[in-house]
Amino acid sequence: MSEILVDPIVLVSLAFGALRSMIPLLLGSVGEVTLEKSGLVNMGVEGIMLLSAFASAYGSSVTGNPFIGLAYGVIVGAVSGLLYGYLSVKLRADQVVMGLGITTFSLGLTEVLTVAVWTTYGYGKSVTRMPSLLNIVFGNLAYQVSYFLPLSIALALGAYYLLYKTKYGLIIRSCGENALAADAAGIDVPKVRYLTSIFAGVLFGLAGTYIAIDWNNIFTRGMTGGRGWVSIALVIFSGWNPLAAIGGSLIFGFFDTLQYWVSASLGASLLPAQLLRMIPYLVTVIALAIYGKRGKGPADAGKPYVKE
Amino acid sequence: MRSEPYVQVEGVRKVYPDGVQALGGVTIDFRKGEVHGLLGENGAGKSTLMRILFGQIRPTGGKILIDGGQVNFNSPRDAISHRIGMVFQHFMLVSSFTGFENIMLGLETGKGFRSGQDVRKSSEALALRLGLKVDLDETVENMPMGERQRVEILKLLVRNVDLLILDEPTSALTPLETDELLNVMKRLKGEGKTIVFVTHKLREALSACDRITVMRKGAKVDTVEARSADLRSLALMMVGREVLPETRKGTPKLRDLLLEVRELVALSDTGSEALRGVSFQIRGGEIFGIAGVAGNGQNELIEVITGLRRAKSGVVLVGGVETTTKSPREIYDLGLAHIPEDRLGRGVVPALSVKDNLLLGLQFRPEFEEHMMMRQTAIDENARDLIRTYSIAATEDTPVKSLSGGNIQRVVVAREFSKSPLIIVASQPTTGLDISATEFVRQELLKMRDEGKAVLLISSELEEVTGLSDTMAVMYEGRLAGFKRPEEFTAEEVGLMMGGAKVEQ
Amino acid sequence: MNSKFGIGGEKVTKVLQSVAIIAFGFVIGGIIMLAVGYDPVAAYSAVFFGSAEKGMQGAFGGIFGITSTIREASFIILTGLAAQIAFSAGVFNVGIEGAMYLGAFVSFMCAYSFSAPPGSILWVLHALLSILAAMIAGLLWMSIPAFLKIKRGAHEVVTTIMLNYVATSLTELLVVKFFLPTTGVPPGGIVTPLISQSAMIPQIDVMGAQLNLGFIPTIIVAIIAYIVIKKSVVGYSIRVVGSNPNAAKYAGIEVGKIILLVMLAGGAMGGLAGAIAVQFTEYRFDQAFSPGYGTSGIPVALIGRLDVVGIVLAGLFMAALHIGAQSIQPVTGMPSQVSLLIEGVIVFTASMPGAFDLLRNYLKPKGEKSE
Repeated sequence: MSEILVDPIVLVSLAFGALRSMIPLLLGSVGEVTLEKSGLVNMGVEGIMLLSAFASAYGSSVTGNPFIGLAYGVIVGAVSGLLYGYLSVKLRADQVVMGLGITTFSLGLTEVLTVAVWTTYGYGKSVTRMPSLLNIVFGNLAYQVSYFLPLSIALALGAYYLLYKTKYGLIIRSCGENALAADAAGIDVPKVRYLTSIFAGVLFGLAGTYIAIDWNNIFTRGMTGGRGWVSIALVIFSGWNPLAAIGGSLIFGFFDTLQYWVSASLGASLLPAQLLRMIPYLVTVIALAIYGKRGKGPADAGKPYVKE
Repeated sequence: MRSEPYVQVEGVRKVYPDGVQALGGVTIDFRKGEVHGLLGENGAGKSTLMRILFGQIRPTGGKILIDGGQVNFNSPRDAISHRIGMVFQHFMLVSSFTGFENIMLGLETGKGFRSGQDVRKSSEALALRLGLKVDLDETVENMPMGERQRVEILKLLVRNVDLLILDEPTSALTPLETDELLNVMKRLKGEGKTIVFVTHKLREALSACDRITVMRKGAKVDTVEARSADLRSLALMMVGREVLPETRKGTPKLRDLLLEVRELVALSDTGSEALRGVSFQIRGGEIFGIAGVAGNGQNELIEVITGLRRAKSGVVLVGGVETTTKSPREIYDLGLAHIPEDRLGRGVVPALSVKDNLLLGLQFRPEFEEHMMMRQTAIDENARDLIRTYSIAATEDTPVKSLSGGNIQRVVVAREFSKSPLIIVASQPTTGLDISATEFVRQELLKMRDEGKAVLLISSELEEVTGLSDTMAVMYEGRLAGFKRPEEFTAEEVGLMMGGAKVEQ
Repeated sequence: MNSKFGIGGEKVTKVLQSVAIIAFGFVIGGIIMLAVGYDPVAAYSAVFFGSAEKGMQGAFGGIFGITSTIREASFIILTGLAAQIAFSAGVFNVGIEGAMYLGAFVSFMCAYSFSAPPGSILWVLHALLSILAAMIAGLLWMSIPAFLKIKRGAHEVVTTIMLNYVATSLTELLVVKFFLPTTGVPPGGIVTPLISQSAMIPQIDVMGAQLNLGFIPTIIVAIIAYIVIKKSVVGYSIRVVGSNPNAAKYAGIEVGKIILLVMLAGGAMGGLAGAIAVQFTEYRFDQAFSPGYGTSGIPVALIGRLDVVGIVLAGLFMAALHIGAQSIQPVTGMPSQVSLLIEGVIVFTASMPGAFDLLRNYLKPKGEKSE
């Protein structure tokens, strides 16, 4: 077994796999981190990613142009994100329940629309894929590196810079840490939260788009496979820090790809696929146990009303 | 100090939708280069007036004038852009940010990113010039209260505020920090700034201010020059003359010692000393009232007595049993009832029905519980009895959250008194209640006392304390003074004690 | 503001709200169906009554439909109760699915590893003890997030969701490792061999269809839950904690203990649901036995407005929706997942109490507005 792991072909394959798997996780977690820093929590990441995945596949299918698909995916993500933020702030909706609702809803909706658009159940037709950034040949295997990889890393770096090095980041974080003080400082807390909701939605949309028309070239039922939830876990694991999320998503991506590799090469190995699958979740639980009450802001439910 | 007015409030009125008049036509002028004291007790209207000036509250009538021209503020942002700023009693800072980040927060600077350098430079320059010792890179939560306050002040100065309102600024400060603050105010004055110093503390007002405006019951009493005023006259103005109570209660028939507090020392949430050696005794059949402006340790005292806060040292004895380390439940079981100040927060469970609320704290008693099941008929009957006895305008199944404030308080009183307690601790029991509800609560307290219970009444409303207490004391900065029958106090004496000018044990 | 609500008023409002939420879900579902080109009326009637010519019974259109609906309802009423008891205390327990899987596996292990001679009292004992073991397993599993919340303040939603994944992976691992051939997964899926006869709870033949007896423990639990929450002192304490933890402390209620209690109870109920799957339904452990029963518990609890009777009704309704949804595809051509759509809208709507207040204020005559 150990010889297999040191085999260069296997290592390269795992490396590329990890880089591939990390992208939606990185996008999801960076979006969620930014949102949570402003005081909202979006539990519907999985659902929004799925909706965007569908939208991007639809766009690419209908026009034959994956960039249109990308546009569709991002727009759906942004709108969903804004809707979620708006309802959370204005109607004081319970964000957890709403998130679960969106997740269930999108499973249903995408299924119905899949049938409507492609007349097949559970999966669509193949669509034009996003072009890749690099094509690398190693041994007798070819690997692609997607544009989304540098994009997502750039977004993570950008988010970090925004949050910690600019005055806008200060404003965002104040809304999450002490909305009352932010309000007293003259900040329009709801507006800030709407903006971060859109930003998060765009990133979730990118993640969904990536999964549907870059990693794959087809929409299949539930293709987000829990990555939305893992993103939420990643937020905690990386301590609400976009930079740490890069490393974290790489780690989680590695385990993601490892379990595929392991189950593809059949059971009887040192580390069963199920164990590998458990690892990101277990690690998150442990992180939560350690971090405990490390919240980023008490004002989760929305800005206090200025009565008088 | 110049003599023309800089900022004026003219005839400012504030009436709330429920009819309560907080301010009735106040006119004050503030001048450049002066420290102007705003003196008064709780409910005098000082904070309301200042919040109007700061744009947080809209006035129902009157005007605000700056250099003679009228201005309208829709938000604090407007006020700040007109160079008026306020430092609240409870600081509005983000504790996990540094001092500098708090100053930067929400600041409109020229460029979007990385424009902090200019702000940094001017902050440091200001701090140096005015002697404000602040470590800009320290996180606020690691700063002592005095330094946090300086951050708040710097925040305003960086925004070119010329009139600074300081709302009860010394309440969270140590004596040393207070002196430093007074020095800072002097320097600011020297630069031509205006400071409005809102306080209830007489000595500080006299030593720091040029002029002092005294307010009472939502109106201005007078504005005087500090150098021609003295403690006594200020105290009198602050408290008014009709404070002397009519004795409607008769002499108490004293019984055993029920509640005793000895040398109680306790810390507040911010770590400062809230109680500095409080001692008193209450016997059955008497009402002991503690008057004083809120924030002088009353909350901490109640919390220690009811078991919600640990004292640093000292002893509490309920019915002779030491309770300093006991849990709230154990203390209740010993016969202590509590009418809390924060009705909706601690007193009731809003989503539940009246009868469920009347059960709160009593649910384990044998008359209501049997084999872990609730004896529903007994509970219903109990509820109906209490509703009748205390005239609660609801049925036993009505959810408490739909009741008026007065009725909610009736529920609380009904429940607490139905415990047949030996001691009743009542904290601000009539805030926000209408006349009939207020009368009702006061009558009930007197009834309890006539039945031989010990009553501890803490209220920032002076008439309430003087009207109900058999023995009275005034609380100031964690200490009690007085311990006389209310009629033995003079109004100015009370005023002086509330303002901290006369503290003896 | 005085109120004349009393018992009648509050209950009526609650029922109206539940009906409104469900109706809204159906309306939105119907609109989407129309937009995509389907007939919602045909779909909904297929759901509830099936279609004779297509041979589908829907939820209530025939004995097969009815028995299936009852079986499905047993599960989600149980998980709904588990969710509800936690909600009552203000705790968001989303981890019932995990407890259910572990309970199911433990039930399987106990039912499989032992065998009692037929006709003896041990027969009954075997079955009962296996069920009990499942409940204990679920309870213990739930103690993990419970302690994390109480001692470390870890948010129970994230921990329980994570642990769900851990639980399902764990059971899959154990089954694959110990009960599947090393050649990989057989066509039947990741399943174990059958359990011993002595632990099986038979299904009853009703007019040709098999009636699953899982509803019996569910009803028992519902009755117990009703008694505890409405009539016991513990239930009272739970309700106080859920409404105002500060007041609860004041009244001498130990909040930490209550939180632990409701989560453990939820875990036990989840374990019971697992035992029903194994001992009452499939007679083996099938990794795919749950189409999301645990998660379905939440909308049931929300629609049922956290009232035991409401939950039973909501559970029946949701079960009808799930079972009936299978008829949608053969009859109308729409995928059965459209029921997820409706369920999603229902949960979504139930998350917005603010919407109700807004609506209420809008509809009230002037001068009577409350906040």
